Amino acid sequence: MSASDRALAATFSSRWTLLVAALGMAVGTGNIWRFPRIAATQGGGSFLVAWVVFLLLWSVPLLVVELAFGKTARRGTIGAFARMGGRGMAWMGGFVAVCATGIMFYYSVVTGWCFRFLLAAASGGLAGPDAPERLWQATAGSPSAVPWHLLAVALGVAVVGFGVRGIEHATRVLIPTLVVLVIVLAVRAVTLPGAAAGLEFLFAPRWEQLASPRIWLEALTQNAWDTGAGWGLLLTYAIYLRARDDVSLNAFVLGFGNNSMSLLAGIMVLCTVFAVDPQAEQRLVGADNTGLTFVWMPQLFATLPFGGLLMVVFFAALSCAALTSLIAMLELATRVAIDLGLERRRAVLVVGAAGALCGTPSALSMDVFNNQDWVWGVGLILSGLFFALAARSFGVERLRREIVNGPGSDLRLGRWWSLVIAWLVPIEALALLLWWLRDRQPGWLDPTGVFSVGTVLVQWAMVVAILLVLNRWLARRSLGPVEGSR
Amino acid sequence: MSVAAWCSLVAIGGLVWGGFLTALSRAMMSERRRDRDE
Repeated sequence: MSASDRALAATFSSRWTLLVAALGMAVGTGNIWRFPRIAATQGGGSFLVAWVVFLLLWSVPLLVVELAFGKTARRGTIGAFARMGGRGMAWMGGFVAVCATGIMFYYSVVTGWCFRFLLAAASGGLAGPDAPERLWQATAGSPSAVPWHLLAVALGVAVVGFGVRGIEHATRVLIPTLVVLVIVLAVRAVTLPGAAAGLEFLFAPRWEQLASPRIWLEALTQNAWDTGAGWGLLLTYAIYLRARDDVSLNAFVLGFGNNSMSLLAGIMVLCTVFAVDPQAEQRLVGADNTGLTFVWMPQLFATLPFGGLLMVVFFAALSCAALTSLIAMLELATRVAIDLGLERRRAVLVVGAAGALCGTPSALSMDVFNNQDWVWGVGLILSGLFFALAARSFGVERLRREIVNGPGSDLRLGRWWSLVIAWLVPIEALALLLWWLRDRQPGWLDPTGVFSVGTVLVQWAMVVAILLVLNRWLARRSLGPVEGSR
Repeated sequence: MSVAAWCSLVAIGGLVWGGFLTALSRAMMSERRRDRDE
């Protein structure tokens, strides 16, 4: 293979495949199981206002930074932070990588649950009022979840092993399938008798609730989760951008595309819920994420015409969303390992083995699962802050003029973007973290608590301490020569 | 559905879905133009 062939092999073949892969990264189970529940419990229409505001003031600006970093540095998170922010910031890139990889370790468990429920739905195993609950109890936090978790890791590794071409081929099939399935389900849901109550619940604004800081904080957290802004996943995909590719317009397509899917998922879930149970408001407010998806949705579908088929379609959509996001997380960790000196095949095997091993405790215990979800989920806010700090270190205005609005730009961003990244994103992140630290429940500093502040601080401190010690080595290894084929 | 909910649906749905479709079509048009120029 010639050098030019290798360079071509290491980029997305078209803008369309880049956007599809990036949408696959962003659209995950968070859109389908987290968004409807958060929107329902946080005031419906009022929450949506705050959610749209943060799409423009958190997600899209940070997605622009990620694309600009990846396209310029052509390295994973550690190398990109060292190159763009300075060698002293390699540890911040390391934290971003650990955060996304920590999520990957339990996300493969969620993906495995999706596969298990898809098989059950297709084989009639979810028929009967108690069947979903029984299957959930038998799967979540039990040894029977382990094979499904391993299957999810194996599928992800198989795709990532083929590099950017593997990601292109997988997402080119999975993402259009996901979009079609969600649209079909949303259309079916709004045509159900009584579905208007669901739309009313989701969209009717309760303006007085906008005075509550909680709505704004939940909207920011949901945006961070939803779009993947600040995770480092888009930075990793941006390594494979062609030199002529745009940064800013792609970030808008991705941010708005992801939130479009969330809105469709919200309509799909809430219209179905209210069509089956007009008094669903009380149940919704008390429902947790997993209950709404894995236990409750099959029960709802069972009461509808063609419910069995819709259930299969629903879990197929959920499985597609989960797998494409898992692929992006595996690629992030693989790319960091490649930058540190491993050849791709070996890197993906190391990452896959680590994922299989470190994800198993989350498959076996819901306490471990919830703890990791909590620790690294909150860590995403810190990751977003680190991106803003690295951009400040590079020079936000310089980043805007030379890279974002530079060659290939289809959409020139004004100074508003610089102000958002330099000031607003750090203020948002710090406000969120301080608010979270103020919320002192009994036992809040217990490091062994599943949801305590102490467990987060101890795990973050351990990771940061190790990364600070290794900072110079990480920067030196990651800033080595980059070969197009790696 | 109340008038307020309809207005909210049109405004938020219009902004999010409209924003996505506008950005996507602009990206695709720009890509076609660039392919043609090359």
